[in-house]
Amino acid sequence: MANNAAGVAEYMKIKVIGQVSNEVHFRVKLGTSLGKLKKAYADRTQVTVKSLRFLFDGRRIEDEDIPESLKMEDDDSIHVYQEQTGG
Amino acid sequence: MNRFDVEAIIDFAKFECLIEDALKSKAKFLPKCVLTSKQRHSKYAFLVHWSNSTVAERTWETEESIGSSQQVLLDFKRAKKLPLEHQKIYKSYSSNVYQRLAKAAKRFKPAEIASVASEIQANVELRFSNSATETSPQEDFEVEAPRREHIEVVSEDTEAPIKPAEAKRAEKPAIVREDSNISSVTVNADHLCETSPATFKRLDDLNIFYKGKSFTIPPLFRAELKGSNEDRTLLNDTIIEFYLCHFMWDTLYDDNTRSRFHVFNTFFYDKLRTRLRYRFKDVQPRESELGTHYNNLFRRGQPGTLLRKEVLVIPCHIKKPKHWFLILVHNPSGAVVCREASNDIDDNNNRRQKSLSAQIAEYAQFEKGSECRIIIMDSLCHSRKFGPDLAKAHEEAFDSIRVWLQMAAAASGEKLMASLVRKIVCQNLPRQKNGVDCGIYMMAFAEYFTWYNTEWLKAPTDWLVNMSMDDGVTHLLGSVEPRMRLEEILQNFRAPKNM
Repeated sequence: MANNAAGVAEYMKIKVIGQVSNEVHFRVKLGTSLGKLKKAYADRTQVTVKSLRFLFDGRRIEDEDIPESLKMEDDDSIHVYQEQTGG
Repeated sequence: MNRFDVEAIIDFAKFECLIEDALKSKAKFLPKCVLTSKQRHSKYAFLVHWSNSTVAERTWETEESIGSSQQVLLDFKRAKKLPLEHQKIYKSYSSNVYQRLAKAAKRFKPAEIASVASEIQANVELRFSNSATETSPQEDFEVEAPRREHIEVVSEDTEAPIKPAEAKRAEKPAIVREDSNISSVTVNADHLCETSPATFKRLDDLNIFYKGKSFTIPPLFRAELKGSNEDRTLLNDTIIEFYLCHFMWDTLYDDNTRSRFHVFNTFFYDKLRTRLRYRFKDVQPRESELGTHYNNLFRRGQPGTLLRKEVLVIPCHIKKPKHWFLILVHNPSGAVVCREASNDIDDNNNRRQKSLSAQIAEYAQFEKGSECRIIIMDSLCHSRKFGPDLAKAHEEAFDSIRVWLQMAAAASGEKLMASLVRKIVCQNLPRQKNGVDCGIYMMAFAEYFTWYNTEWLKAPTDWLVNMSMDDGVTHLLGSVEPRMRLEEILQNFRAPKNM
């Protein structure tokens, strides 16, 4: 994320909130694909991206989504959940 | 015929189980037995060792084809303490089953035994792996071709005998979970024998693309077998969400249903429960703060609209044990008493007035007999092992959802009477017979009770505990069939390779 700081594009802050209300903050460009954010979060928490679900406003975020297309605003939060399986 | 004398009978199994095995292509089956005897079948099938034949040529035969009076059979029955007379079951298999058996049978090595099998009615070869590779495997695994193009391929001669099964099927519209899709996509879905992916078990993730959204669907089966049913995988949230929130919602429901129902995603309950635990570990939330809590938890929700829905469908997931169950909230507004806007002032006099008007409203509601019903549907609630844990989970789910209802009401300036919320745990629903199918059962409950059979909406609360599904569906649910149909639907939305 640090290397993005030099860019001229607009940035916004996005919070990623885990299930026990642990927050991780990201600074992203408006046009950054959120797949990158997902990957960064997964790397940080050391789990595979496949086992995480990112929801914004109750909707799943797809890799190609960008903050702009989801009409995200500064300081918005994304909720992250673990994959659920059951038998 | 005299070449095929029964030398010994090795084993027996229920005919129905064999059909299931055949459909899962663990066994080879000539479908004639399903077709010719239509509704009456032998209850048991026997593994026969034929005179002058090798072990590999052993076949499964129904009692009908062996002949009940054969001494070998009688001896075997005595030894196994089976009833001596011919045991029958009355059951008609849908033509779908027939078609898929036909496909399975094609893989059967056309040896002498098989040719005889057209005279004797059933023929199952359990050792399928070697015979499968000899005949053309590519034909059997051809699933990529879109099914529609192949409808015309159907040969006419299969048409007539299928009729009874079709008629039967029409009587029971609910029998087939994804059926309405199939029949709407293809006018006559019964004749899909050439392309039906009957024996197809996908083992990789599948990317599907549905109405602008993409989903990565894990396999529904795994390669190795553990026990009789355990080649099935646990369903994950992506499958459930795709099916309930997207496919069922868009494709199955009509506008009327969409306006009356609401289907939550699988994380709703997870979120609710975690937050309630986290926030209200020891204390009950204060009534005056309920609305604020709602807004903190669900910032963009529209509590008022949700409470006005007739039924809320909530798929619930718990982690210990890993399990899915379904909650239907019927008539949430039945427990709502409207709060007068003018009573918000916190002055002593007014408060007194408020409680009085609230009491009157409550009484009026009571008089009307309206209430909100939270119905818990769990396919595993009778399990000896998990029963106690699940009972606790149900209790927690009920409490959480009731609190949620209260919060939602408070957020939209209303009040919800907790005493008018009733809890029902259904006791007569089909039960899963293995440790892997709860997701399938949950989706089936959701689809059945929100779409095919909504009579229960009018039923008195005390009766709801007895809600059940009809036998055909119950039988189907235990089999591998729902997964096959799910797979078929999924294949329809397979994403282009480059995605």
